[in-house]
Amino acid sequence: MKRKLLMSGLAILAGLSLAACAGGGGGSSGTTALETNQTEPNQAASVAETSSVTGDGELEGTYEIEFFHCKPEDFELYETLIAKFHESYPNIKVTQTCPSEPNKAFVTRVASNDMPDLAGVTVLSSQIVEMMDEGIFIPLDDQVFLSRANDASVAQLYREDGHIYAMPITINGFGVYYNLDYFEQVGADVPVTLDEFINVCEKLKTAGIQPIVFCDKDPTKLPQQVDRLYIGSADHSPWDKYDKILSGEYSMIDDKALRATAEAYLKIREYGQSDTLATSGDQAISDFAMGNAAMMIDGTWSANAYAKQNPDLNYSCFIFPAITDVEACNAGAYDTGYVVPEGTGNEAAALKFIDFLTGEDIAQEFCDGDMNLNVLKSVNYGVEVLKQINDATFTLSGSTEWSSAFRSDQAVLFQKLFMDKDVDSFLREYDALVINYYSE
Amino acid sequence: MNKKISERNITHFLFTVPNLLFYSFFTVLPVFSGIYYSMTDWNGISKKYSFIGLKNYVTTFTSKRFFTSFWFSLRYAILLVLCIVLISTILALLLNTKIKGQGIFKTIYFFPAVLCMMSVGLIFDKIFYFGFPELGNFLGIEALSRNILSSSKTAMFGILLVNVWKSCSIPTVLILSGLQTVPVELLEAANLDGAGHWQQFRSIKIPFIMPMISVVMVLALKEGLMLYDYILVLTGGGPAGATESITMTLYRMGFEDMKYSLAIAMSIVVALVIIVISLLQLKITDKKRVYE
Repeated sequence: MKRKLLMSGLAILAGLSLAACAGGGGGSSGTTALETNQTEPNQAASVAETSSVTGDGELEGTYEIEFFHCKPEDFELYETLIAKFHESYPNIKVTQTCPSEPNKAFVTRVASNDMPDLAGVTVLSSQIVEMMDEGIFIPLDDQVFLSRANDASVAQLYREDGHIYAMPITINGFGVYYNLDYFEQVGADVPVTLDEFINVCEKLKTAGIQPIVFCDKDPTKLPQQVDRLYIGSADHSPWDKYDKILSGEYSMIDDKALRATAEAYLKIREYGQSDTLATSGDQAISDFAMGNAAMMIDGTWSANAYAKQNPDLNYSCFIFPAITDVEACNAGAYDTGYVVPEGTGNEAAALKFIDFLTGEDIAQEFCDGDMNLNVLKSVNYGVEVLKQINDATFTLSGSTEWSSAFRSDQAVLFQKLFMDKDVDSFLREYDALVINYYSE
Repeated sequence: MNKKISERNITHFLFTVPNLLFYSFFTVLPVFSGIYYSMTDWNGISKKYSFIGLKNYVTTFTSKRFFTSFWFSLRYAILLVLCIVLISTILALLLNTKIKGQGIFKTIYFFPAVLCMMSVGLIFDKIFYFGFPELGNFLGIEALSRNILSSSKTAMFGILLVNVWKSCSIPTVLILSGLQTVPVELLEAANLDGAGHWQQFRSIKIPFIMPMISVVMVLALKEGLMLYDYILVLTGGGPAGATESITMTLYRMGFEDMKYSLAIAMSIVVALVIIVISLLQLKITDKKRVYE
């Protein structure tokens, strides 16, 4: 009898301890989400004991906030800035989080109602826009720091409900990184037209230098490349034709801009490595940085990466020439913008951190370290490598219009094009892709 | 006596309660929750959604992309099962012989099991990029001179090679343990009766190791159908979608296309298929095992 009681008691104790382990952290990933319209306060951050903003803008009480961002290359930079923030605001502790696949991780956290207190995201991406329209973030209409961004950027971020939910900080761009030493060696200037670009490639090839390195295998970089070059150099807004495609009045099979883009992509690949579909993004970055190729088509977010791989690399970046008769533009997107999820209980502290990050000196320090194009009025953009991109006309890339899935599938079609070199088949499949996505 | 057995059963049951609760909370409950969400139009972030019945399942069964990626996964899984069972059995038979350094060989063949899948994938990615093409150029073998991951015809086999290399370790150990249960007297008697090695293997050893082979087949089938890590590291689903597995399609549907409920519906269909195939396979292999 005693033995049975003892065994039963042990079993119950074991069960209670397991239940305690399993029950920790409401809203952690893996649990189902959104039972009601209420959101639970984020348990990763402690709830403020008291919170009030005094007349001079100071925040009373102690806070711990989680700052989630999608820029692993800026992790150390943010550490420095957070340390400076702590000196000024010792009552607000900031912890930064930047997991792998940060954009997907952020979507997961929103889905599981596990919001960070502050997030640095690619505003105007289709997922973030959807979150804005769902009321996931607090509006920032009355915030003083909003006036520190240039008016055009702020205007672009207003949603249909008349509110703005993100503080824009940087925009990214896309272009052709080139090795200045190799260009000097062959006597090449920065090409302005597509023909000039091909001529430069020929000169490099004749001199025994691989003109371009491509990373057609990379599932992240290839969608970016095909999106940015198509939008920036061939057709600034192909989606304007989609209604006509759906109604049968138009077809991408007859689209001159897309055909020219496909043919241009095939042409420039004659100057790349023999097996472009075998090269990942990291490998391509390494090849360019170590001087194995004279050019690489990439985004402004990679400017740091080349310098880190090879500090002696003498390089710059130019806009890819126009493929059609449009003006060659920098097709970019908002790289970093800060949003404050609703219902975390630490909104005031999060806003204080944004206020700090957008202050004159800190914003300049961030710009110099991040290297992306900056939209804050106080910032002097002095990144020489990206000066030509900064000076170019800016247009929003496809990432603001197309979903990630569309961009991925678009890249798959381009991979197929690179394999079988059949432009007509590519155009037919692209037309079907548009109909498939936009008829839903 | 009956009272004693009943009390003993209650005590045994109480010991299973913690695990049962844990399993129910983290496995069973999410499954039922998933089934519920699969019948809605929830996009993963919206606070409002509508019940749409079986519409997602209709979309699943009319989706060309779903069938294409599922067909890839099925082909891959069948090849994986065949390769793992065959290679593991051969390795187990070799390790079951009395040779010098048997312990060392067992350690060597078990080594891949302790490595992380992503690490293995990254290492082989470099081997395919640098190693094999250099070897192919040196030996003058054209087929080996290209990265096999860059061709839509050969990319699947590159992934299969990595997967088989990593996944044979534990099945080898399982089958080896089964071989060690084969009664020596039976083998000796068969030997005396003039049975050859193949006859002994087919008629005596296989029935004894059939339970282990059955387990290996189920696990390999599941691994093949749920393949994701190696594809992510080695090909990203390319080239040109040639290696997009069903899990990759589900991931993209949910996280890129924001169609969570459709992705859940697809995953439930896949789960049902895995269950049916596993049950069939267990039934077939059950007939061939030896019963003591």
